[in-house]
Amino acid sequence: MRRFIYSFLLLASAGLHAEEAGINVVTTLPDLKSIAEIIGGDKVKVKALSLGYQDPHYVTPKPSLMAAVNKADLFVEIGLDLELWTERVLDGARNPKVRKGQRGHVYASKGVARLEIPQAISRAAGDLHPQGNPHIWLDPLNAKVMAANIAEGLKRVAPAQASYFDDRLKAFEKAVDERLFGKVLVTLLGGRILTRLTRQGKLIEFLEAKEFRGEKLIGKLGGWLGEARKFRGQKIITFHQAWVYFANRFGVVVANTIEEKPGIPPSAKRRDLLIQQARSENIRVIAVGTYYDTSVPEAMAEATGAKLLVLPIMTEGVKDVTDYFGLFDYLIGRLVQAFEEAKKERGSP
Amino acid sequence: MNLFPDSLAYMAAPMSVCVSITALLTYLGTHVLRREVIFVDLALAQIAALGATYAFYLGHDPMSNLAHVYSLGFTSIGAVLFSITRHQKQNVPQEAIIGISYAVAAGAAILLVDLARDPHGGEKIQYLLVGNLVWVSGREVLKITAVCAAVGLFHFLCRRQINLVTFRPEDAEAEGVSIRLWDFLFYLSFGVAITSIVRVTGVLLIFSYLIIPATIGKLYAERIRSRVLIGWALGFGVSFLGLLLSYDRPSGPMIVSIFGLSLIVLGGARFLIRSKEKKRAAAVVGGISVACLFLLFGLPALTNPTPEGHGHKDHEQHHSEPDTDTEEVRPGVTEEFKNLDSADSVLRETAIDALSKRSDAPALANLAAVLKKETDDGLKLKLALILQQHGRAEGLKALVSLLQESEIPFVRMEAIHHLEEIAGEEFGYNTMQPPSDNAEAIKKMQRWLGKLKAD
Repeated sequence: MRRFIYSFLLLASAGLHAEEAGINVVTTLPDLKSIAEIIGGDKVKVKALSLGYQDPHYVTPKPSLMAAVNKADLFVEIGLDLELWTERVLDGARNPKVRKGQRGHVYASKGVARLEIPQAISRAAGDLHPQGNPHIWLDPLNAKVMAANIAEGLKRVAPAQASYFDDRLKAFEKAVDERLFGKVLVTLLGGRILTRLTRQGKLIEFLEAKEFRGEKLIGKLGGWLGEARKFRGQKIITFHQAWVYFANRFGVVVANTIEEKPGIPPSAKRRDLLIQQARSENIRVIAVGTYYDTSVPEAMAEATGAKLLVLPIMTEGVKDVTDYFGLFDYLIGRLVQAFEEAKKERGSP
Repeated sequence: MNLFPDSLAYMAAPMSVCVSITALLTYLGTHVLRREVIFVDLALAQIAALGATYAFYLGHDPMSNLAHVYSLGFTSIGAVLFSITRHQKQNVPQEAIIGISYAVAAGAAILLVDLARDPHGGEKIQYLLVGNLVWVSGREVLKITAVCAAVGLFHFLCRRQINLVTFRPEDAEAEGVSIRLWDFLFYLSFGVAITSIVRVTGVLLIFSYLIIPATIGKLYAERIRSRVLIGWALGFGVSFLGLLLSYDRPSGPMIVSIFGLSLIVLGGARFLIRSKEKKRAAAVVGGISVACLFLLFGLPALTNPTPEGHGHKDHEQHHSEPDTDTEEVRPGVTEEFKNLDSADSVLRETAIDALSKRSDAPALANLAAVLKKETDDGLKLKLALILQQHGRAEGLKALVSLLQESEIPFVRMEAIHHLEEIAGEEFGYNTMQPPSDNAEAIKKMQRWLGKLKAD
């Protein structure tokens, strides 16, 4: 029976294969899908296995996922122990081309500078990522590295199209730079220098110190970083430790996380500590990923008068976010709005 | 470790919930025990969650009031089901019906969440059955108290009929009490209470509050009233102790564990008291206790020679592995500068900064070599200026070449600024124009550079 079903699946996939021209790319996250579509252009057909509003750590390996991977030419995952379920999907898919270490397998996180690499490996800290925090896609600069890894993979499986992918990668990098820094600043300083300064944490300092033709460069900062200056240094409380890369890039300060150990309900001590901290540090915004229960954060918001923001951490996490760039438009827009409202409320007695 | 927090204020809201649910559930528990439908609360809670999930599938928030209505609707269907299956003269025990309802409701809920595809958090559903006692809000406390009071009042007013159908169903019909109707009302009121309580406490706690106090009451008393009183005393005590001890720990699991422990202790005590052969009973209880203690503490001590091995291990792993990256190091340059060749411009700049603190010939030669390969115009400019300060010809040459080639206006501006300062003359270079439109100025620069070389 099993053999029958499997051969049926194979036949079905072979049939589909014949219909679709192009490279079949299967990614874990919708963000990887969005980036792979940008790099692959009309040469690829991309499918994401998880949905933008699902917890990327836990996805049920359904047969449909395995069937999708079965006909994949390229499989892209973040790695860093984020998608704990891919091993089972890859095992079940019986597609030797995309197994780990094969030409058709890509770890998008390769070469990304990771944050929160633990000093000590101990299970006491709960759901621990020994290779560092895996939510790397929440920093657009990391997306440039991820895109380069995807381009490498595409070139491996379709060497004839190498220059096409290279061109599209360059265009993607430029698009990220322009959206991150604003077009004006990218024209003046170039993406390479801006990226380096940003990664060194020196960008704002540099732009405030330097002038171009008698004008302070900081005035030229646009894009997401320009917008994010409105909440730079402001504190938020989040639920899961998903926001480190975002916070690191855009300067919002994650004062604490509600979740102490993933999967274990926060204790009374934690509750008291968080409420006290929110009051004493005047924390006005609590951010929760779309896939978490909001009852605890709601109770926190009620107790402290802070605003509760339910935010997507992935592309397609909410209806308005349809691609990777849209994710940052949405996140930064919502944060700016929340902090402005909080400020108004505090202003009026 | 500070077991007891300075203020006990945090316990007020959770403790109020515990008092309300102890009061109601201990009483209901005596009925559930007698009816031998031990897992009916799990089944009803799961059916209620299925109702909320269906509302979610239709596009409503699973936490909304409308979803609660769906929950209650589904629960009443469950109540009908359980009341008609009780006295069927058939060979299917009611416990089987309850188990099946639980499994089917749980499976259907997962399926519905999968079908819903609503971006606003399908995973919310699973939290309907988890609950979190510590985070209960004032509004929820009021709601639970009201529901418990209402259900309690109903049971008090109708105690004759309900007691009759639970404890003496064979006499019920003779006294004109409909078993079907009152069974249905029993399960319905039970379901209403469970549906509201489970959102705050979770199924684990509900089950414990329902069964354990009633069980202990049954161990020590015959009359319902005494059983309920014993159950209440135990329930209040365990709740208080559990919340007190769980300031720093998950409170639900703590309360359940204390319930379990108290049942073991009280059960053992009853066995000793009621036993006719005290010596033998004491030997049995003592033997089991020793075996448990050995398993919990003796065996680990024997199998692990260092009892604090746990802490040691953690400590050892603190030493992170040394970086075993054995990249080739440039001649005349020590290990710390190996990143000069890194593809990562951040690492490269750190190495350049470190190396530029030295002014010996090998260091400068290395910086000149890096400059040749450099792709970041910002770093090119930096290297050019360092080399120029140390009197190396590559510095000025690189400045001029940046002005000839760089696509970055800011770099061209900095470069011309420095070059004009060094030269002490103006070349008429326009930073805003690309190098190709600055041919005149570049020619002037090269003439100046040539003159410099000749000198």
